[in-house]
Amino acid sequence: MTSDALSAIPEPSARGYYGPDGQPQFFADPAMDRFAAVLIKLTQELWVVTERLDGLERAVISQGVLTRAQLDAIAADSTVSAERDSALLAYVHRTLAALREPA
Amino acid sequence: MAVELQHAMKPTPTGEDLARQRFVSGLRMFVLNDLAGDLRRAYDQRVVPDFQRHHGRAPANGTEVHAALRQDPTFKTYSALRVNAQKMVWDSVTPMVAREHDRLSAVADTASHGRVQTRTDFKVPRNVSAIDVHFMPGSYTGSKAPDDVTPGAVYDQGLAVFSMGLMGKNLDDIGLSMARYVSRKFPDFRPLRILDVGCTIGHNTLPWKQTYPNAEVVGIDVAAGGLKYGAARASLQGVDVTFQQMNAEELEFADSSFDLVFSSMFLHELALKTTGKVFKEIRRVLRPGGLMLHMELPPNTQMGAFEGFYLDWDCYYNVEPFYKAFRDQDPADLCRNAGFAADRYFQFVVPSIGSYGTAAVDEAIAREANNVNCETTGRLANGIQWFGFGAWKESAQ
Repeated sequence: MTSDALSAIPEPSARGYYGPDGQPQFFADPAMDRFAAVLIKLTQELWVVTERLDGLERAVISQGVLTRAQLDAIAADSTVSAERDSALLAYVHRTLAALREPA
Repeated sequence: MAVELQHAMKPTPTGEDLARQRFVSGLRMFVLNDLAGDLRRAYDQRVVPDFQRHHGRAPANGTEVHAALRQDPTFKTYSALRVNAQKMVWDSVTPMVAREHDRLSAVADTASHGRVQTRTDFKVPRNVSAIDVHFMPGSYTGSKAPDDVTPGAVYDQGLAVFSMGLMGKNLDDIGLSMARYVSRKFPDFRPLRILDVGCTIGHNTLPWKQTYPNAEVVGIDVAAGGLKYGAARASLQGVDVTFQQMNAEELEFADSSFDLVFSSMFLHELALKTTGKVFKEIRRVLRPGGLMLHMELPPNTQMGAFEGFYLDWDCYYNVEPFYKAFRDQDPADLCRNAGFAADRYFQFVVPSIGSYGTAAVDEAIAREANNVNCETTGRLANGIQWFGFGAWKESAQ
């Protein structure tokens, strides 16, 4: 938080409630607070994938393109493309951002 | 859960945006309902007995509750998740606002025309400009041109995710509940000029026009971009409200020029010395017999130590540095210090109109509901009820 925000809180003893980066700190080791952020972000991203996949599979099945059994067969034969590699890098940067030093 | 806004001033989300936003709303539901319940149990079953062993008594105030809770693992996980969920509110909406910035700007330019007055030489006070209020990146003012619509769009979209549906599809539940309360509680009061101070994007301003269609309704705020966005938002919803950039400490209106002056979730973002000035200015612009009405967080002076601290959590961990100092005040004192007669003060708790329905609001009026120290009062979670207080300016005799 900014020094303006911290100095306005009407309780000097609260200073110890923030980490060296000025962010709220709850765990004994400030690295734990960063890992908590990563964990929650990862959970979110897993949900994004779940929701998107659900939409795609419903569309594919409802339009008669593939059956559920065929979809499962394709899943077992997935290939990795360059496009997916760059998407993966963006994904890692997004989910692990809390581990970076503040700019 | 995440609300899809019903007006044309909204960016079109991608599937990824929607899934990310849905997750954040769901995470907040979990934290603010389930983990909040766990926190209360941890407090009653572990924290209080431990405190009693050391001090021979239970924590007596919010500061003691806070210091004791800091040691408890449930408080740590509740708080860590809540801080992250708050940051993720904004993370989940800023990409789509940035992506559609040019279209939103063009729509806002056209739709806000003639409905908003902003000034290029306006000095935004530091309680807004120097702090990323509730972790909102760039606060209410943003980092682009002063009247850029980005902060307004981010606030609107962010509030839709943040509120988990509890503020309604148009984010106007506070305004609707308060306006219903006033119109039913005081049926002979028919305001013709209504002012909303610190209105941001006017989401809680519009219900006053809908409740009192003959009234002229004006919203003011210090952030130009939010006002422009709000003016377009109102116009596209067909609600005739105007907006002006103005500091509530120095209202540019004549004495006795409004029948009703309202604010919602505004006072706790002001430094205390500012609040006193704002109340005096409101009193000045009220006509005799007019009503000042604030929707706010309930005061610590009327709550238990745990219940009070539960709300003050935001002061420490959600970039709301003025929150506790405001909540430590007695709202009746604030009104009296501004010159309102003590016997013209009133306060109430109104059930959220969206959660409970209009009949519940009317019923709360009938029984003069004032259940301040209640786990649903002022807490954005299932079963939310809003706290309000106000004072009448004495009539000219």
